[in-house]
Amino acid sequence: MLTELNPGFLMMAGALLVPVLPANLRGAYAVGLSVVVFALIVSLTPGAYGTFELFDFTLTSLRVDRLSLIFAYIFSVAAILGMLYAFHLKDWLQPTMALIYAGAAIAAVFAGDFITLFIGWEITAISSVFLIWAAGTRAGQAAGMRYLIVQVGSGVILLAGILIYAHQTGSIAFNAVSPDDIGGQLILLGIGIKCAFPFLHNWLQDAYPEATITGTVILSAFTTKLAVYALARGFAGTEILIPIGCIMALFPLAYAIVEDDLRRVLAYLLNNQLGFMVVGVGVGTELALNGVGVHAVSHVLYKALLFMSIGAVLYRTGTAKASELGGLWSAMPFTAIITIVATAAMSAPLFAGFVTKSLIISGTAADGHFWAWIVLLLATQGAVFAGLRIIYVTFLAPPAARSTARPIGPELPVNMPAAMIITALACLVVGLIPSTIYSLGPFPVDYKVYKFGYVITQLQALAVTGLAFALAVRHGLLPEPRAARLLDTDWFFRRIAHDTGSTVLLLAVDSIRSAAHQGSNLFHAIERKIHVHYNPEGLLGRTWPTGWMAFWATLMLGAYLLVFYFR
Amino acid sequence: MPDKRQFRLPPQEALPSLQTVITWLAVVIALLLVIELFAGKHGKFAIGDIWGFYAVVSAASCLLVVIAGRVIRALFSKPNDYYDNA
Repeated sequence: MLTELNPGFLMMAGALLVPVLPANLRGAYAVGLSVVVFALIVSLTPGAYGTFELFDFTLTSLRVDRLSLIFAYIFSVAAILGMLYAFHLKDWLQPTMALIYAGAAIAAVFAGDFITLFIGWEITAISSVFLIWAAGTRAGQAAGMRYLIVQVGSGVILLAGILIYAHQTGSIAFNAVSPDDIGGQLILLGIGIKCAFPFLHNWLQDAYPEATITGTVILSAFTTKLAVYALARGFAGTEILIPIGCIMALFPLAYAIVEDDLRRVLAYLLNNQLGFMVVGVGVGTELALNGVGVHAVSHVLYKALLFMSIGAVLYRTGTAKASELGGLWSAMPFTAIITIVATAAMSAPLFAGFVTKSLIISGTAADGHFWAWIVLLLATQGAVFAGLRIIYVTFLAPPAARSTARPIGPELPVNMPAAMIITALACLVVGLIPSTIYSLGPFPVDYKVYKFGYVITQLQALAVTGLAFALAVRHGLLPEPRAARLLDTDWFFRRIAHDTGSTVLLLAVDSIRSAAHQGSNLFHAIERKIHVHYNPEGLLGRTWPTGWMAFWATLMLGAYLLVFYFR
Repeated sequence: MPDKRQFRLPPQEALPSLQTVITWLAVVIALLLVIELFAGKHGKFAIGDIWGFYAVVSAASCLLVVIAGRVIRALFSKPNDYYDNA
């Protein structure tokens, strides 16, 4: 029975118990539920389950195959790690919403049809926004609202695409979709928003840094990787995704290197790594798609680890702003080492990112996409450079050069370093035993990452990046952290639309006011007219005997009979 | 409650100086470049098999990122309360 139930739905149902539990049990329950869901996912066997008819369509609430399984594995692992990191929380809202959010993402990856996918898609949007609002800041409230509008908007566009697609094809099965029809294009656009395509990306950098410390860690795992899964399922081999992915891999780096808020830097780096996966989907070969699946796993792990590390800094110092940090090496050596591990896990041999990203890069090269291959090589080292900057400005740079040296707060609750250590070990295990993760990929491919020539050249690349960074620091070429707001595409809706909207609103209010003033006589006339008919003695206001009602009902039935007879 | 300890500068003896890091990295790169001469490479693209190709791409990437970052800062950097005053 349980093996035929979508584990995501079970997780969502289980989440509803959190509010009624005593505060000190919530953390253990959230971790326990995530472990149970992970065990359920591991016990699933490939096939289609939970199939039923709705109107003329067949719904498959649980489709288990290699592609859905690898994303479900990492989502459930991310839930366990995220819940462990958030173990110390005493409020009910965050664990409840985080579990619903993770459950919805798992439900969506197991969806065999578009309706189930859409349900999971929208629940992820609605539940996750509470992790942003829970921060309780004014900026968080506003960013959460913008995030919700974008996320629900993506769902609405997805739904419009699904309806057109279902009308055109007569099926709502969630399989490969043609991007040539308007239905397919709308579905691609809906997914593209959630996947942070260029110009549709800024909700990510806008909202994630405003969430709670634990909320950002949880947010980093699900929404965008759900979109990557949907792309891999629906649009594998769609060539337009290659240039889109290349832009995603490159442009966020320019922001990451000068952005002041380190959680926003990580959001830009998240965007950059999504670019790799989008290129992999665009290439669409088995090697590349395998790369997408396994890189999603690595990426969830090391990105969560980076957010955990910066979250730890934020927890103890009250800030994640580069311009307010520095010199934390001696005060937070553990967090510093974890941040170094997480940065190494992006691209260094022996760590997760190296063994998984190589599949996408090799897949891109093997399929003959020369320029995309060059872009991915550039983007790999650019991301490492930006990662080194995080380590430098937080732990190594002299704090005296910063505007404020902040006091160090209380030690981290023990669950936070525990989650960080486990995640770091996971990054290391994936990197040391790549065959394990490769065997879980969407397609069984034989790929050897630790080839002597390849490792040597990659170490070279890393060492040159390290040297370039050290030289940039020494010669003052590294952009100095500066408290500032970098304008991104959010400018269009936060400034232009706001200003235009304000003007339109003011004009509208003015015109309504003047119309109301000038037309007050008209309103009075209408009011008098209404009063004539609706006053207690008026035609429509007075009481009528029931006989009249029976008379009119009989008359109408008679009229109906006549119309029916002559028709 | 946060205590009153301030950030301390990293003890000089605990961390290697920038110059030491630069020297060691240069040595490592030189060694790796020498080893590369003896490593068999059979990439998809011939350019990838050129000696030192990955080192050059890496250096180019760092340069591009720094330049692009400075351009972004020059063009799009505003005070923190920019949107609050909208």
